[in-house]
Amino acid sequence: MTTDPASLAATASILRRLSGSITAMSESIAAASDADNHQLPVSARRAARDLGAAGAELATITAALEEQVTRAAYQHAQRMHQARMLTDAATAAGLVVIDGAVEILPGIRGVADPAAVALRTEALGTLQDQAAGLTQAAATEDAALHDILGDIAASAMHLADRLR
Amino acid sequence: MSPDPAADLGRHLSDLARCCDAAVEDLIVAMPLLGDGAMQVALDDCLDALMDALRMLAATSRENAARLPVAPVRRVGAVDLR
Repeated sequence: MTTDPASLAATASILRRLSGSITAMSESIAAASDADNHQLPVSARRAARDLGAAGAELATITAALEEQVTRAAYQHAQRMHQARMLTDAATAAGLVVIDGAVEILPGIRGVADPAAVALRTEALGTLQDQAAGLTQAAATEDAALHDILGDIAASAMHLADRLR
Repeated sequence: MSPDPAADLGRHLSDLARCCDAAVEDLIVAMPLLGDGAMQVALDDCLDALMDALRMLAATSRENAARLPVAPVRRVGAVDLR
């Protein structure tokens, strides 16, 4: 399964809109259940106030998820760009990128040029370091995103349990 | 101050419930893809939890709206003795 930036952007847009709507509606509910509004029974005011607070909390959770989904889409675009740059640099040096690893293009060249071989070997080392750095950075970003998504899921589950 | 605060509050609660229901439908259709297996599972879990919270908020809003006192019906032409 591959990352689909369009689906991430669409989801982020839904979450952004949702967060704004829930915030506005929770504020309306809080205002309608104002303590000065003695025409409503106390129990109704209390329930509405609690619901307004829960709505505000859900809006915050939604906004946090929107931020992470947007970040994931941005990181994906950045990684695609970096991978293209690496492939271009490897091709220019007579190398090839296979599954994210930089390697010497297989096959016989027919010409023994020590200077060209030395340059290619040097480029290979540099680009291999670069590829390893990109892989490491991606793994670190993914681990952080994974943890944050877990925290957001836990907050949402906690809120749902309180409302149940 | 509104002449019928219960109706106002009921309307706000119903709006919130409808908004939550619509958001759940939108999120089900969106189906975001985050490539790698573990990340996709984390995102799916997160969205499932959010949708569950949205459904619970919608249900609670409707329950609270249903419990609100209903204003007495006044007949047209009735004399208000207050």
